Amino acid sequence: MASAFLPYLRVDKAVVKFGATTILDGVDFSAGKGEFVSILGPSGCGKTTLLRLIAGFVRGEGGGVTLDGRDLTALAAYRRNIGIVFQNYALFPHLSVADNVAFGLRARKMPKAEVASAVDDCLELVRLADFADRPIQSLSGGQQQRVALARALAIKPSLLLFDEPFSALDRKLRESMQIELRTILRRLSITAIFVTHDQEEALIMSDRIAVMNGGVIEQFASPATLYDRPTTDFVLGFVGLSTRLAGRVIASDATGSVVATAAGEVRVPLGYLRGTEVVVGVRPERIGVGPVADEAFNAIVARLSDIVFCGARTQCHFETASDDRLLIDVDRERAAGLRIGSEATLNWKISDTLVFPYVHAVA
Amino acid sequence: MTAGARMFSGVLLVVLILVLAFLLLPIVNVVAVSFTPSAIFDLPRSELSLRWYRQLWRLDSFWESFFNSLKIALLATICATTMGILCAIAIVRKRFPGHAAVELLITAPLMLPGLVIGIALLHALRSIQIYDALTGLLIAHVVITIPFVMRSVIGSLGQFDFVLLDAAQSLGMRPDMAVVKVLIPNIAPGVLSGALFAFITSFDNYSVSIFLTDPRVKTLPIQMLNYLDEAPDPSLAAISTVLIGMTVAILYVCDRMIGIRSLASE
Repeated sequence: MASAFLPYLRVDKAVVKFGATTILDGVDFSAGKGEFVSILGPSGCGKTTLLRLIAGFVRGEGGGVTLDGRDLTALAAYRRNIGIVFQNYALFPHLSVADNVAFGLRARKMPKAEVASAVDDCLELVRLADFADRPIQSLSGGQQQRVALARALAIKPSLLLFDEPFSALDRKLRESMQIELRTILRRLSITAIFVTHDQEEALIMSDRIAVMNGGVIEQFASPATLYDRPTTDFVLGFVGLSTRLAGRVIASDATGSVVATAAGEVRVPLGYLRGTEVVVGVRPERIGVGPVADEAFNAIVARLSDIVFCGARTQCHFETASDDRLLIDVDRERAAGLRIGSEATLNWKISDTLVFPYVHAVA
Repeated sequence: MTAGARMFSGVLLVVLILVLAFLLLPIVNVVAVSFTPSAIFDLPRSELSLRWYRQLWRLDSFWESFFNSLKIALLATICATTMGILCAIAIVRKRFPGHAAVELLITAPLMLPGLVIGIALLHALRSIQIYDALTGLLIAHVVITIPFVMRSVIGSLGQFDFVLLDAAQSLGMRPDMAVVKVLIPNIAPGVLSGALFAFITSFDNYSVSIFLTDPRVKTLPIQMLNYLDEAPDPSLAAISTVLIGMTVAILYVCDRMIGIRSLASE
């Protein structure tokens, strides 16, 4: 999918260091025109720095930023025409709603009448037309968020950046803002880069997601690919829920390998050298309860330790004799037949088993 | 309300009135004295007169020193405000090592006795060949007024989110313009109250200035004290009343602009 795009935005081998600390360690990043790309990662992974590099607030040591065929690397932030929606909105407290939205247009010396009509259009777009003369302080969080969006849209940006814009909103509001934002951006076909630490948000909103960790991009793919085929242990753990077991490869053949974990032997669909330390993972909805007499399945015996009702689905937490935890999604009827403390055989397809070389955590 | 509580609040009220009287009566007294027809520094007995205001008009040395003070106070306020804002930004941003020490050094004149600063500056100015009294006074007054501006601006900057400057730039505004259009309006109360204190401190200063004036260049406070030695007549009360009026006028304008409460809270 990515190769189909001529990258509209491209960041090449970006390296950013603050003193002795490397924040970005050779990051390649791209976005196609009209694409919605998320940068997802835990705090301190460098995602905000990457955003600030694109915006022009941070200078990298290597690599450049090109946008629509234009090299931005040496261009000051204020000349890039990139709109930003900041984490705490960063609205100007001394200006009214309309003046906030007009700010970028006045900075461009746009004639008064045009400013007024552009401001009206933008406020209309975010459904705040009646709030034009209000002071910023009188607005709710969600309304301030929409003013911030209107202000960024007013300058007709070549690119729109979002720095965790919804993190201060409560869940309900956040979900409706996510959908509203998607609708607006689609309608205007604006290219957007969205930084978030919330994997659910990234999965919902993005065309593609770059998962960052420790200053590098671990995987850059569509939400479905990230979920179904994570390429690293970190991505598996960060995106969606999963069960992970550490183990060592004890046998390998053309169809895969056998991994010895503390919870038992597990077959995986990839070949590894014997003795390799690996992490085996399974998504909770791929695991079934009950014995299966099929070569194509893995099976592990575990004790049910907890049942968590989550609305549409029910989570079951199992513990093996070796104290490994397994997480399973079941439907409600199935959960009703399970008793906490009882033992069960858990099974999943070998082809659904994910496996990654074990990476020692860097302190 | 119990009897005890009622009595307590009654006592509080009396104390409040006494304290206010203690603070305000001398000022009221001076204003009253300025309208006396007699030549003695005393309250008007039978009638009011503008005699000492007319006398004030003829005292050229007062006017000369008044304009000296005004000139120095205005220039010192402009310099101290500009430098104080820049110092405050540098210190709040903490981007350089030793920012805490720098803050302490700039604030030091607030804590040192004026006499010490006066002697030190006199010596320092002479050693760099500055003999002109106005220049010396201006430098000294900038030194003693910067802390007022810096401290009140630091207070305002504590409420300021520097991301707003990034936001302004992302909207196409040059960084220097962003400071003018976004930072300055948001710290205006702090700047104004700092500048006001700087102006009043400079205009009012005696202890530092006494070392730096010469027989030809005097500031108003020094001229007033000299005059008190020579001819302690009610014209002093008249000029004091003019100064009180000036102060009230300035405070009124500032109150109109930003509100007296935000002045006081800095």
